[in-house]
Amino acid sequence: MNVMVLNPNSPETHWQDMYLLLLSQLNFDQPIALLLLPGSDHRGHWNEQQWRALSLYGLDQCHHLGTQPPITSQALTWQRAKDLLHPNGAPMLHLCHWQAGVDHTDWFNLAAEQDHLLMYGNIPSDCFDRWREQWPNPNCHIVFDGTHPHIAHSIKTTEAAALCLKHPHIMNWQ
Amino acid sequence: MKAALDNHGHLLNRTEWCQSWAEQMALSEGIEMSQDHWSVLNAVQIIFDETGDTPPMRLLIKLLRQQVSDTIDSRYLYRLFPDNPVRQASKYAGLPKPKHCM
Repeated sequence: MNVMVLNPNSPETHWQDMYLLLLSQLNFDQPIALLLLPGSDHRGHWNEQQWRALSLYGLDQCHHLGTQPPITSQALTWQRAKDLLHPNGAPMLHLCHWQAGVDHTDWFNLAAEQDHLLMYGNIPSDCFDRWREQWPNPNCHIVFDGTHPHIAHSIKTTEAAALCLKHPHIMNWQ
Repeated sequence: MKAALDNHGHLLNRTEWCQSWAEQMALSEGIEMSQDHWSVLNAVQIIFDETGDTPPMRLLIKLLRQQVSDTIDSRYLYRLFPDNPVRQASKYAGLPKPKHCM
């Protein structure tokens, strides 16, 4: 089962792209589940008509962490969400694009012991240290693209690309 | 047929839509509107009002079967709108080009 994760911090364009992708999946009867991360109900970018459309077109697997979206949806605990995202316990690669003022640390609950986290962007080293303390293993890295100061635990883009190829399950936190 | 159109030939302002406009637009593309065409157009307008867009083909057929007739299939729609049923039905119904259409 393909799981589409929706994240309230993603830009509106991403939400609209995901909506069209979801329509396409429903159009071809592809099994798909939607997982809404906390805050998606009030900081998401789908309007009432789009939610109504998904219901009308037969989206029958919607799950949420946090409050109920405007569609039939099942509330999950973090553990259940993690089980949904980790089919057969396969390790997952988490990608996060650093944005000042956006805190994703609640979502660390979705990380399993064997997962990797790659962070992109110019993250201050003290912020990264806080993240690293909370990540459940040492596999937490900044992708060094040469445009910002090199700090500890950074890896090159080629190594990051290799990790992406190695992990079939990737979750993008934006 | 003086209503303003967008780059894709769809009405810019739906309030300017009327049946005679739809008939003229369809005729200019070689289609003479029949009751069958109107049933589809009316249903597409209702779906658009409900969902904010015209859905892709298979989803449209699913809804048309519920709302118009359970005998509707893609061959039926292509007989009515030979170039692209979703696109042409949206255009004649006075609706924008569907977002999923490239």
